Amino acid sequence: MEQIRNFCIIAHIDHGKSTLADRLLEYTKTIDKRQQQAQVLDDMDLERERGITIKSHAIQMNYTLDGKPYVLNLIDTPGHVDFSYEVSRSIAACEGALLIVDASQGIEAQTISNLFMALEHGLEIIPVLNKIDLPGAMPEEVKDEIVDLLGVDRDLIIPASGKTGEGVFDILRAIVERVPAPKGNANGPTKALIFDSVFNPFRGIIAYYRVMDGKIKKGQHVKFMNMGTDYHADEVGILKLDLSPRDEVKAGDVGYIISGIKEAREVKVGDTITDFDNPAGESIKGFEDVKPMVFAGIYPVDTEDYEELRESMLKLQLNDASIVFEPESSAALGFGFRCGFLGMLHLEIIQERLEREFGITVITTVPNVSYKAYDTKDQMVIVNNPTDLLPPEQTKFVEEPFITATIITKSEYVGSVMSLCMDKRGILKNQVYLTADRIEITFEMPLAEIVFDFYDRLKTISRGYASFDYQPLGYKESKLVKLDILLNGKPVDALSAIIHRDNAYDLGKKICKKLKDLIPKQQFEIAIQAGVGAKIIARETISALRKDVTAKCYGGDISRKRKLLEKQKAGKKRMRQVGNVEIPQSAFMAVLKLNE
Amino acid sequence: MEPLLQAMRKELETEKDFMGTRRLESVYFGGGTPSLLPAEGLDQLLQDVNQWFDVVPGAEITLESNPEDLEPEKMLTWKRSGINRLSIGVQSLGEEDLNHMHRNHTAADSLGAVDRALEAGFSSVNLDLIFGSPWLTDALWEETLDWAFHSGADHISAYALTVEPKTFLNKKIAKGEWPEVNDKRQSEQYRKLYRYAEEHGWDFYEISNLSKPGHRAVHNSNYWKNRPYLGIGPSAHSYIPGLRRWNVSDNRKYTLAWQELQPCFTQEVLENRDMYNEYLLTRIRTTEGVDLPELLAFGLTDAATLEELIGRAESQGLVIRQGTRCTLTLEGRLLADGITADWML
Repeated sequence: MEQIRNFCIIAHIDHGKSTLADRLLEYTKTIDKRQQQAQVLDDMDLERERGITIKSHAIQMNYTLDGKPYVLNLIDTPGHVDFSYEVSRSIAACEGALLIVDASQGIEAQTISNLFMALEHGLEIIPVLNKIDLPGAMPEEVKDEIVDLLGVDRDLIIPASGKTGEGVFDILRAIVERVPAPKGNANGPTKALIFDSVFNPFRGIIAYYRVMDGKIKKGQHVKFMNMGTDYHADEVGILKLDLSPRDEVKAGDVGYIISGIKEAREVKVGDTITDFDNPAGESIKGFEDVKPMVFAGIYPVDTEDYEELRESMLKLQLNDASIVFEPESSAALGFGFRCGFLGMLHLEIIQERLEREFGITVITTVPNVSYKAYDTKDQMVIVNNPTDLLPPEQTKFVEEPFITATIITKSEYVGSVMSLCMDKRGILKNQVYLTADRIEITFEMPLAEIVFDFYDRLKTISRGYASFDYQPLGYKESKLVKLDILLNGKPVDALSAIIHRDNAYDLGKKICKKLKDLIPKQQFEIAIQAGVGAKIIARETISALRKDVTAKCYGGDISRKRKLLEKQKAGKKRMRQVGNVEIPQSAFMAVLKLNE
Repeated sequence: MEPLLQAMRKELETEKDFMGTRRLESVYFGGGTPSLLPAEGLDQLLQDVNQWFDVVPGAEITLESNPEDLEPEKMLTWKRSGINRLSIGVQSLGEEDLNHMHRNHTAADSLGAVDRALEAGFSSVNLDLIFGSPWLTDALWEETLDWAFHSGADHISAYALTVEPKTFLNKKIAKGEWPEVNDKRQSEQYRKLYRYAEEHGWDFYEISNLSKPGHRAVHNSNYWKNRPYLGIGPSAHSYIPGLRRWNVSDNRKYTLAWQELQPCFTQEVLENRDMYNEYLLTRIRTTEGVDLPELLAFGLTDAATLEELIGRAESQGLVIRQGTRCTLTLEGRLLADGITADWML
């Protein structure tokens, strides 16, 4: 065990985690240059394109230092707030962490929250100053930040460049010398922490774990303690570039298990694997059943594709247990699903995967959080779809989830960041200067407010110099109402939203305006109204289409016109009808783009 | 001008068999400002046309021109070369309108031009008009029509002002410096034109084209009849059923290419479905309308589907049926694009 080192990497998106990880693999000869598919760790196409690691993975390296061989297990962590529970489980599987900070950017909010998580778990932190080769690098300032934050000796910060390879050997040495070897009872009952699982179409679910005590053997009858399920270990092994089967994986090491599990939801990250006949006394602490934070309706663009969409969602669920869905129907959109996501990024990823992997284009309705509504008889109903909210006279009060939001920004943007957060019903809780010109602000705010164009505005007002993280805080009562949108007097269920009463007028007006831009003129006048209960609070009118005809149609115009009309027809086909009004797809997401 | 002219002559000779027939019913000099071409150049091209093609007796030979270019002497030479029809870019009789459209001529130029053309002996004269601009009042449009219908011209092409993306007009409107084009006004002015045509017994045979009875433009009509045509010069489009191609638009590139006797064009092969859609979008604009048996002959749709589509438009008062033919009403003309898109495959 003293020759094993388990470590993860904590870094902000774009701070060069994946490139540096590739260098570690290359310098330990785990892969050669030719195998290197630029950023090996991110093996989903989508991940590579977005430059972020969506799901964690792990890889084992062999490295000899001063004549002694070591086994280094790198456990990768997702770099987005939507996946912070997964990060916490990866951290719990390690004894050390590389803290990678971009020398030109400094520390970001996401990094800090993950760093704190690592410190809580008692990880040894190895700070790395990355991208020092960049012209915009400010190594001294960023070092100051790191020293302030960690209280570490300045000399312990390793300057590096994933691009040139500078500092990579220093990092490897630091991992061996500074990260403690794993501790654990090699002869105790089996106890292993699942920190990730992946779906393989041929072999089912492959769970990744870190053995804390004892060992996991091929053929062993194992039990997943929190799920209460048991399996036979068909295959166990360690994670090289590919799976490397072994007879057993011992305490302190990182490995995988294949045991005929077919669906991702049977394996929960954070669960403990133990021996069925000789189980550990208790499971590893920190297990949580992750709950979706954001809900949205997903509908096929073509109503006939409902079955296909259902099949695809089921397939997605095979390898992404965090997505939940149930059928729902909408008068405007037909049959679809109400889906729960970990966050907005997760929603976008699912939408994109549906398109890319299954070729299905979907209409996503305006996302909302999960509300708790209490009726006059004090019965609580969970509301995941605005249309489920009872009318005001039957509702006693509504609670919504709140979060603690942490934002780190340059001091010059503090004013605008604060006013954005206030705008979003935030209550200032704390502000701390990290350095002379970087400040950390803490707000309490409703989760719903960060679903509606928060990230983009934060980025814009801070010119990209603000980073954001949040922690759930629980439910609180809020003055919430359901805002309905009506077209020619008919409510469009898919456009309803639950919003704070004070925002109703303003939002209602903006949505009506936006819809006026998005809904094409038709042969009759269209009234767009926003209402709360029976009260209409905003109105716009789309005048009737009076003229829709091309003036010239000669030799050079015909082909162009044909293509134009074909496109128009395709767009029309994708429209949805409510009453006599045709609504384009884009209108259903209008609320998210009110400021464009 | 000379190298370009030589290039066009080469193209004409090289492509003389493109249409599969050398018989010509019409020749049209248009697109840009061909009246700026020196009279000798025009004459040369027409001589070439006669050399390589079989121009039928009485063929329609049209020249597009600006009012300010119509000098009596020039017109005589054109006439001698064989031009027998003039299409005059009057556009508007409103000074404000003309200024905003960056036209060099005045209303007076236009009024005089038609008289001079008739004096020069061109019996067939078309007037290009633009309506629906923010500066064209209803009164001025009426005045324009009063003049146009009695000017002696036998043909009018009237186009609604269209704001194309990336144009000067578009930018000015986007910036709020110029008023927006009002579709209510455009549709009212079109209705007025329609009434004038009825009252004067003119043949409003296509959405933007009307003539004295028996004076339809042969050349433009052929575009809507699926007939082959050969376009010569930069940007010119050529067509035979199933194939369309268009020359490079850059004058210099075009000229250089033909110096090497190297055609430079883009082409598209038209599938049956494309042909169906083009049939729809061109025919529906004409008073002949679309013919159901002809549509069914494409083999792409069935009678029931067509019945349903047409029935819907009929119930909305957009089309009427005459036997197997289906034509647009005035209301239908105003919404022709949407109807076409609905019917397309």
